[in-house]
Amino acid sequence: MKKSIWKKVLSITMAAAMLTGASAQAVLAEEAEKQTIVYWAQWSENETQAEVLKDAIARFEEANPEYTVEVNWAGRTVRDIMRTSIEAGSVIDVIESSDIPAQLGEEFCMNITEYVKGTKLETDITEGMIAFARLFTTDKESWYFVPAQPFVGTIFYNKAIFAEAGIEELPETWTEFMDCCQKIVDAGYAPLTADDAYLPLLYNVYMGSMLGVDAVTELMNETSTELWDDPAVEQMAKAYEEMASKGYFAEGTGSFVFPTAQNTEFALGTTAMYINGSWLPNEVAEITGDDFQWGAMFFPSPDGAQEPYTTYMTGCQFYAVPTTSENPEGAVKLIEEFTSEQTQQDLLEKCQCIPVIGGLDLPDNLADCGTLMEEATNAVPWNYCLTTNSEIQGIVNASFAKLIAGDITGEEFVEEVRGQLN
Amino acid sequence: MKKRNKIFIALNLGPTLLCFLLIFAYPLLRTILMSFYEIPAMSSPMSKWKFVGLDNYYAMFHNSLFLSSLKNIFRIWLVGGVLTLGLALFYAVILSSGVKGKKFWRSAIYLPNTVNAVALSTMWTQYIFQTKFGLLKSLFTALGIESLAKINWTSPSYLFWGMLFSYVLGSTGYFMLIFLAGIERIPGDIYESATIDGANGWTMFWKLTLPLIRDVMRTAMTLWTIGAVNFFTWAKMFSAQISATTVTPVYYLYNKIFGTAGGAGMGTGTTDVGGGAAIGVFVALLVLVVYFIMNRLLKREVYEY
Repeated sequence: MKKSIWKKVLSITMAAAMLTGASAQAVLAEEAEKQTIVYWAQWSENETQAEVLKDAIARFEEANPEYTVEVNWAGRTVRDIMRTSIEAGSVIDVIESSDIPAQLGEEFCMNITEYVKGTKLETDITEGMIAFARLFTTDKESWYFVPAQPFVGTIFYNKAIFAEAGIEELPETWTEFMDCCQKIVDAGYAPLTADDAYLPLLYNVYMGSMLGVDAVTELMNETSTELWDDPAVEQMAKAYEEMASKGYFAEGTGSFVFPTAQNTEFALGTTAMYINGSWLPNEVAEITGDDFQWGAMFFPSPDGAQEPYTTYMTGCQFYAVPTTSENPEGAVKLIEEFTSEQTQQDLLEKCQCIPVIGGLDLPDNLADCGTLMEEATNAVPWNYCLTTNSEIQGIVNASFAKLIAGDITGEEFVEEVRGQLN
Repeated sequence: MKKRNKIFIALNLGPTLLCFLLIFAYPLLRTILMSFYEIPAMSSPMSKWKFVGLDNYYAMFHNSLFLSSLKNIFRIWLVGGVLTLGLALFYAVILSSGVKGKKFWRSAIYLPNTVNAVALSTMWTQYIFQTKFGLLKSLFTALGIESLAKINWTSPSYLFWGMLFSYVLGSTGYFMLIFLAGIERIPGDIYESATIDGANGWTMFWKLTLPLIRDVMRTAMTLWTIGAVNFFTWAKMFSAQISATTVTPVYYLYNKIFGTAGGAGMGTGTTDVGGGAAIGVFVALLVLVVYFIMNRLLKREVYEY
């Protein structure tokens, strides 16, 4: 009798052990079956963008239990290491950087067109940004680069100063712009300023309006180009010479090391205009406070401009699936989550990023950027260039700083640049 | 026994030799090789390298930005060197003369060296040189020296000198410590007998101190030269975009190899790794040549005392 009880106890214990073992094995097997997606971010882990993306990853892993995401919060320096890492064979499934087209290009990024078919990437991302990302592809239609966080490059202005100066209509032509500058000076403010990091915007946008993107790209890449002899270049130089001579630049412009002009001239409300990107309100939010009246306007058309007045510069950061990815399907799904309405809404609210998808309202300080995007009839790349030879830019920058500081004339500027390029 | 000795020597030297070969010799030889090729990226396999002979060197010496960079480091080396080593020696002599509060002054002068160069240069560009409320502006205005208060140290005309001035002040403490250590090891009785012989402070400095720290001076000059040739952080911090005004060979090299970020995703700089390698080789040769010249000029004559 006692034996049979012991037999029963033993049998039950064995059965329980087998069941427990089996379930543990099942969990282990499930874990082993999970596929890892390796994501290299251009954010540091302590940045707000990283917090938003962490939430997005959590949502992705919950909705797709077969995947687990491993993140390398590489920060902006990802641009310096991504190509070498991929060439060295590092497995990366999703990479994010503003420099992907130039640093990786089609050679190191997978053509993910097949994986994108039928996803929300096709339907939700704005047409303009899709077209922009395709500019960097050979066939202009494949998906190599997925746009993320677009930005607008334009002139930001202080609406309170404009109102005080009695400027009711935004200047559309260069002549109107000069009148506008004079009114601002008369009201006791400096019209325009620039930091060294953004000097190329001033000369490139002017020349780009006159000559177009291809010509500016050539000017910024070819040392032997005859384009420096084009009258448009001299016109640009003389226009800024005139501005400098009339005191239309804030005192010290040409010598401001970033972010001096942005923080102490524009954000503090002593200078009315500053040419920059749509990240500016967020960057100076702690200086401007909530009362700053943000305005954004198109760059005024110089005489003889080719590009329409309603042109703005745009660009974006990109996601891509490197050629070393072992899981492109999962990678595209993760990118889909990053560009979902929820993630884009979070990025908009917490980081004041312009969404890459349509249908979301922009905050007040970016409202004018939204209006520009709606009213625009033309969008061009940042700086009116697809690529830049930094050596040429270095030469032009040094002379341009002297020009807007009033140290040299327009003619001397052109001569100095030409002399150094040849 | 002899065999054992050889094994012992090999075991001791082996790891060091291996490290030297892997960490110094291999990259050096590879860089020299790379300088004769056109290479799309640092890690591009050799199959993607295109032999261009001396083209990278030819282009380098025909590039105005590179020539500007040479001019800039020459000025940093010469003007900065005279100012930094001169100031450092001056402070060291004063501190070793029994001045009151020596420890405090030594720490105060050395303090900038404890601050990261990025933070230090940001302080200079964003505060000390600020044209409206900067330290120099306020100081000179308070002293009533309007002509100096008006100077915009980050303007194109003054940017280089502003950068050099701040670098000199940031480096003086380091060299002061080197000189101070050299001066303090000179036995005091030499000065005592010189004083008895009627030598004044000036004579003792020129006839005793300076000759007796000759080897220290040589070391300091070598260190300064290496620092000047490899000048990078301050140049980058004083110009957000590479500029002929502040560019140095190493900044130029960095730009060649990594390109310049478009800042906002566009207009990213093109890269030229072979060209960058050529600059690297040139910079290394430059250090060797200067080192050789200084060795010849300041012969190693160590005085016994």
